[in-house]
Amino acid sequence: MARFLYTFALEDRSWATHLHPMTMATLALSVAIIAFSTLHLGVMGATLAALLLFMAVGRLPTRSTLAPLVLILPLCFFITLIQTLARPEGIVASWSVAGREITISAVGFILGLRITLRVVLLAVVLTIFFTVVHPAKFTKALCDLRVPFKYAYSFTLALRFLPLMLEELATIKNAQQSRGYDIDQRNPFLRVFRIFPLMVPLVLIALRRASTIALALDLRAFGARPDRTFFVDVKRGPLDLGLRAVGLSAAAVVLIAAIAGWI
Amino acid sequence: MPILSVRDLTFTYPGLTEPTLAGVSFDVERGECLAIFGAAKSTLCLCLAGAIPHLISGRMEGEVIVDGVSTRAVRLPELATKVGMVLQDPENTLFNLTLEGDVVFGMENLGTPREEMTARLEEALALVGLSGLHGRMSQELSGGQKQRASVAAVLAMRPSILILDEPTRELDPLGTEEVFDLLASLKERGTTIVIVENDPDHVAPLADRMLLLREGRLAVLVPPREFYAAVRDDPKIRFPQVTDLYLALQQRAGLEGQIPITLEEGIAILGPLYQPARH
Repeated sequence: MARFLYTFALEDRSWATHLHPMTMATLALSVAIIAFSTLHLGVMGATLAALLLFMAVGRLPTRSTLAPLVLILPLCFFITLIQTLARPEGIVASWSVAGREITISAVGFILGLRITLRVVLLAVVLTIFFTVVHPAKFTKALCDLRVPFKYAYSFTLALRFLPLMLEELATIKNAQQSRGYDIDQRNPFLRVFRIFPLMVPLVLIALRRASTIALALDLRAFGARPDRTFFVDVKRGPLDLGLRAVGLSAAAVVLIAAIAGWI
Repeated sequence: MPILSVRDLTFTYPGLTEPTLAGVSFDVERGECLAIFGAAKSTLCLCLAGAIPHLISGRMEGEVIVDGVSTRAVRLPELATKVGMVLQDPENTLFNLTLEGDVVFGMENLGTPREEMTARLEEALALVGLSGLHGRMSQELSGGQKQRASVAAVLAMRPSILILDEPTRELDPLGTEEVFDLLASLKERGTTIVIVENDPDHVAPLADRMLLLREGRLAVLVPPREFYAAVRDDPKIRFPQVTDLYLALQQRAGLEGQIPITLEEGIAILGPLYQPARH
């Protein structure tokens, strides 16, 4: 069976999974504020180090938590490459190829790395969030914030059916390949292009499933009463308050320093 | 007083001129197990559960009364305490990430207090033989376990009637056995069951009566033995293997008496006819 990030939260093997979901949301928001406030390498490096420390202290599974980074590495590579080739200042080398000048910018390269670090920061904090937060508890926490249950529950519903949709996609892919449709191209762009037609049956299957799920939800009294109860409970402890204070304070300091031009 | 009354039920889907169900009337007594066969059986189940007319559009005439309440008179979520319906594909009925989350989901929607949910969760899981698997991820369960989990999720809401629409269609033989073992134990406990199922070997011993719909009309409604005698010439009906064998031998061997519907009955009737070859 495929393991997903939230599996760790469901298995409940760390103190971090007992944190209030809104604490994790606050930490994620704080990191996002820091990442978008500055491109200062020291600040972003310190924030990344803090996140890695959180992972180590919380005994989060390093491999599965950092695995999604593999997906963003090509994006990071292209960002850095474009910045290196396109920046007009700080040029350290240049060639003329077919009448066109190609330049290498040290400033662009550093900027590319900074943007990469920003993307990595956002990706790491998001994967930590999904690793640590129990979806049902997150739904409860959202309802406590007066978000209507039917919207709050869509988060859990989406996570539940993600594996199923991936299975459906694999089935469609196998069915098409068994009839000679060639998907496994070495060229990643061509591969994406070839998978695209498989989305049509996938969407049709999803629509059919959605109508059955709507029926099944109603048969289980979905939306029967406004005073719905919850089996799971979420509580705020001193650690929650401390982590929220640290996260928000750090975000506020970085934001002020960035506005003031100190970093 | 019957727990379920269907009175002159007619239903026509939008765009159709002929009704899918036409003037169907029958009662189900408390603790009875009714098996439904023929065309439009799923539509009939949707009417019994209240999905028609509340969720599925079309023209419905007549009435379905469940535990004293007309399905027209109350909203579908409110009917959930009267009728619990288990659908074909358990993947579509387990919406939550864990077994525990799925079983308590209906109770949460009904505003059940947490202490009571805990008690009912334990009871429902014990009933379906899934005790101790509370935290197991729904997607990790086997097909049979998923369908039993679906039944537990419905039972936890304490409905008066359990409706199952082809509950073993997506299951392998082992999963099918698990589900029918569960249904047999529920029946022993007095649960009222309405089931649509194409597996005659399992349904025949379970059902108290069998209902056949032909062209949307009620054609036969009798106990299983009489049912198979009444529909013996209907090529669309699948018989239990032992009943099939008996009917095939009946004329040749000059058999008389009641038709067997279980293996035990078949051995009792046909066993004496078997003479092993001597070498």
